[in-house]
Amino acid sequence: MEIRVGTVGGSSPIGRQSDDSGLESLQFCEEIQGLMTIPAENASSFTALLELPATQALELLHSPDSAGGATAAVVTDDSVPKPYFSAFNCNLTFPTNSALIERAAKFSVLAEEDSPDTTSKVALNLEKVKNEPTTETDSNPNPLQTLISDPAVENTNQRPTKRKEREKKGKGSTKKSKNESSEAAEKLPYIHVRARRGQATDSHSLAERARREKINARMKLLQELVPGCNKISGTALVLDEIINHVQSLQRQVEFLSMRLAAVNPRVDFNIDSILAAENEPILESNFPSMVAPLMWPEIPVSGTRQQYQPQWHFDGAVNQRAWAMDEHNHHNFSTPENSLLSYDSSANSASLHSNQLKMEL
Amino acid sequence: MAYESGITPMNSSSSSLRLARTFLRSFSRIKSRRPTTAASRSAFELRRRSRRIKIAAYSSMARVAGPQRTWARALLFKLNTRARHRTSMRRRCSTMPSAYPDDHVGKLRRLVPGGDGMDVCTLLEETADYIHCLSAQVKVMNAIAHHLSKN
Repeated sequence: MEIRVGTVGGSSPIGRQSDDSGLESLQFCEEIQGLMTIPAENASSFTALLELPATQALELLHSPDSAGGATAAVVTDDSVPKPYFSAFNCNLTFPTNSALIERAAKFSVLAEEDSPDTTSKVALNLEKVKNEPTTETDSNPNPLQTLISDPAVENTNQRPTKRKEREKKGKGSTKKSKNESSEAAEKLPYIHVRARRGQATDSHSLAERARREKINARMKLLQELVPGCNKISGTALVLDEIINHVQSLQRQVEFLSMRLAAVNPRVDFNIDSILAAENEPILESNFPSMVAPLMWPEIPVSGTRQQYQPQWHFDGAVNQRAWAMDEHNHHNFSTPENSLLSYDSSANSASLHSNQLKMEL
Repeated sequence: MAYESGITPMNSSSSSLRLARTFLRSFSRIKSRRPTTAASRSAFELRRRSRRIKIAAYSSMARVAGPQRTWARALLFKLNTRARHRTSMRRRCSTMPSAYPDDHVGKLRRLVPGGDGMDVCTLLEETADYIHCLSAQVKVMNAIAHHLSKN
């Protein structure tokens, strides 16, 4: 027991604090790096541990609350896939998972190719183990059940299935992630692995919580944007309302474009008045306190507008609208579009109106 | 990050003015291109013109919203490609199955242009901006239609 604590705690502090019980490949990497970088006593003690006969070392490595004999028997078996497997299973349950995994990897290496110096090969095998766990646990969790009959361990057997569920669920919806984190919170206290996992999910759930808050802020913004959405509570209903609103707006655009197409296309006559009058409600809504041009009220009525037009055009308009328009109004004069407009205006007051158009555009 | 600044709705006064101007420019171009003949009264011509106006509306919206908006980029791209090969697009769209799940977020993804690749946060943000621009566009078009029909 002493050796176990010393080696594992010393060589891989991450493995001790970490929570994800070996499924996260990152921690393995870090552990391997830690093993490689710490040369002197930890590594020697570890190798000294490896020098021991297999069953004895395993008993040392083993935590007392699980069926040691079965796993030890499996680990000492010489066939290659089984050590991986047992290593992984132990990895689920014991705090000494990193040491055990390396142990098992070493065993497999030794069984295969009798070479004692194995740091790189341990790393290689760990890579293999790293790549395997998802498929192994997900495809056949049965050996786990047959090997280990501890109640605490049996609880962990639910994990592969749950993990599968999570993978099925995908990242998309908020509700499911909420469920998941609450599940993790429920299972946190009474299983040791859970507690260690709980810390991992803690950092994950922190990120998750931040994300949920972000989403909620967006939803609130959308609720303000969509009329009649404030009273509704519940994400699904709000989303429904938003979807309906977007659809109705798109339909409105379609309908309005049809209506605009169907309207009598005497554009050259009245587009100036449209322009003027069209800017008006926007201006009214957005600049209630701002000085509206004095002649705004007369503009929509096209009869009175025509009297004002020369005056508009020559002295009033440019100065009055300079605050509202940017510069590209002014290089509009040279665009081909204006020539097109003036060309198309077959009306009697064509020149005047096209001039006005130029000003407006 | 462009998205972080995008939570607040855009500067509504200048953008709706710009929107109005952009749309009116293309609208007047469309309108002036069509002479008032009897042929233009036909249903086909009408439909064609309305589609053109719709495209003008959407593209002016997208142009006003700017290239840092995902939906605007996606919309402009869609409009450009669709205008270029419209028939092939239509054929492809009819045969293509919908890749999205049928929940709310999937529906929203289908509605907001360019929404397929986003995560939920970005999608909601883009939706907010899209709704804002759409409502401004509807306002502008309503005003135009109102004044055209009044005169």
